[in-house]
Amino acid sequence: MNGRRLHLIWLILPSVVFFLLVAAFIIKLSRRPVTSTQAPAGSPTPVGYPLVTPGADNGLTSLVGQIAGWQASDPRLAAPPFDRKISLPAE
Amino acid sequence: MLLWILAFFLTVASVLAQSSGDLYSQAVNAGGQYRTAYSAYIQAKNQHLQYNTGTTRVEAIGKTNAVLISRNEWMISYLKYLRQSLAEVTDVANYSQTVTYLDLENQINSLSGLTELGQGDSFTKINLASNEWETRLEQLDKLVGASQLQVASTKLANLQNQLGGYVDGYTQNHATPSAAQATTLTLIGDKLTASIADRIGVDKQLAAYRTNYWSSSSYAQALNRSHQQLLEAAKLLAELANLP
Repeated sequence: MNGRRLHLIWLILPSVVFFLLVAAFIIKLSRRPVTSTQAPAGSPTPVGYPLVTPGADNGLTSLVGQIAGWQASDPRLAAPPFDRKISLPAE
Repeated sequence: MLLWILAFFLTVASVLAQSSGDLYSQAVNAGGQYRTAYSAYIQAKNQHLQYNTGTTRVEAIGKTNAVLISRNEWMISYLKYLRQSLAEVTDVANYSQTVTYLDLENQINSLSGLTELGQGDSFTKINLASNEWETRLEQLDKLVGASQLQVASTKLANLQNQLGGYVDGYTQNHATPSAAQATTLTLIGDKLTASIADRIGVDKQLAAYRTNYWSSSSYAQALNRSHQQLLEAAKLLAELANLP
């Protein structure tokens, strides 16, 4: 009986591990932005970044706003302001 | 054994599922814990300097070990947040972005493996451990600077790409532009090209940040220049698009 249970565990275990790995991979992929591998024809733009299909204004004003709001240093990414020298006096 | 393996994979899955918002909150919490530990360390150190007894010595050792652990934890939390921020905006196939991503990964693992940190039982051992940790800061500063710039640069590249799409759209919709439209379009194209060139120059520096001369401020200036050109191009295109 115990031997059969052991066999069952070794049958189920790889399936569970495989399922978890696939789930983790899908979650990881879903958090990446959708990208294109080709820039629009004639466009002096880099490849590999999200693309927007332009229309009349269709978001151009919003894009100008986004560009105006871009910052070289994002305050939320600032490094932690901890004390860079922690020590005790010599004994 | 079975439970251990399941727990391991569940941990991996949960770590992968954490968003930059979650990790930001964790880093903020770690910062709060550090500040509490730092106040306790300063107090215990001053008490020991003032009274110099066995009890104050033990207290100073305990509180200093605690603040060293808190500082390390804060740094790890911050690097995890930075790594996730990078992952959310960058492309895995881009070499320079992968360099900084992998370096963040290595530093997180290295700092997480510092088991001797916070275990010192004498002032000398504590100072040694702290000093050893602080010698990493020079390299960490460069990595943090490169990662921050990488995030900014990639966001800028994304905006450049979007504006390029709008320029193409406008050109296709105006197959026979007037002389004024053609001149403005040329100007927009020149500004966009200059903007992209500046940004690509920074990307190249970032790819070799470990070995090359490093100057966060000059690269940030180059990105600001690139941004200025892009903004001018975008405004010109918006004006052009609004003309009757």
